[in-house]
Amino acid sequence: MTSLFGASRTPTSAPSSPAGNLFPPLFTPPPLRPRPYPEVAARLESIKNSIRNELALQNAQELMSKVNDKCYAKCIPKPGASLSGSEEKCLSQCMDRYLEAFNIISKSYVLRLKKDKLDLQTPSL
Amino acid sequence: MSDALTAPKLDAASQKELEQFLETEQAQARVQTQIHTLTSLCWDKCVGSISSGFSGKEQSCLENCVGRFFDASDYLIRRVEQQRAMAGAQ
Repeated sequence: MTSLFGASRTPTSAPSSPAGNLFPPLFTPPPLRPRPYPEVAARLESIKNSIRNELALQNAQELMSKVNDKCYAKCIPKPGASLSGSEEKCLSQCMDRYLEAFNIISKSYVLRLKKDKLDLQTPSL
Repeated sequence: MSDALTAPKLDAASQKELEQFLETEQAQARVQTQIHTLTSLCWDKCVGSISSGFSGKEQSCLENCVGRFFDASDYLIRRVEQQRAMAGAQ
């Protein structure tokens, strides 16, 4: 599922993150402490991974559902007996545009969060 | 989890770490949800007909969309607070 969204994105989206990760990390995880029991550490890691995967899946599903809604509205104003070639072309362009918009919004959202945080630290009043 | 009975128990430190991990992931999930909502809102507001790229107007509309959304929210909150202060002064 992630390859659908992660692979062919523009260089504007999180250049340093690993392939398949659409979103730049907003929070840096705390450093790992050494653990006496490796099997406990492994279990903890596997729980974390399944949570990460679950959230990533939810996120991808939400994105796909939005793409479907928006692009259906834009590209298929009058449903015919089958999808036409031009409708398919519109759908594929629309999906690219929606993901592009999503990346623009993510970037400006993160910038805004950072700005608001700075404003809180150094109040201008 | 099918291996819940055979898997090693998490010690207190690991449970604490898992709790912190969950908190961060939940915060991040809330952010993602908000980004989905904003993308939908800004898409409806900014994007016209579909082509192979955004026009300059669409691009700058999308770039400004989030900032103005939060400005509008801040403005409205300030206004409500002002009105409340005025009502309290009377």
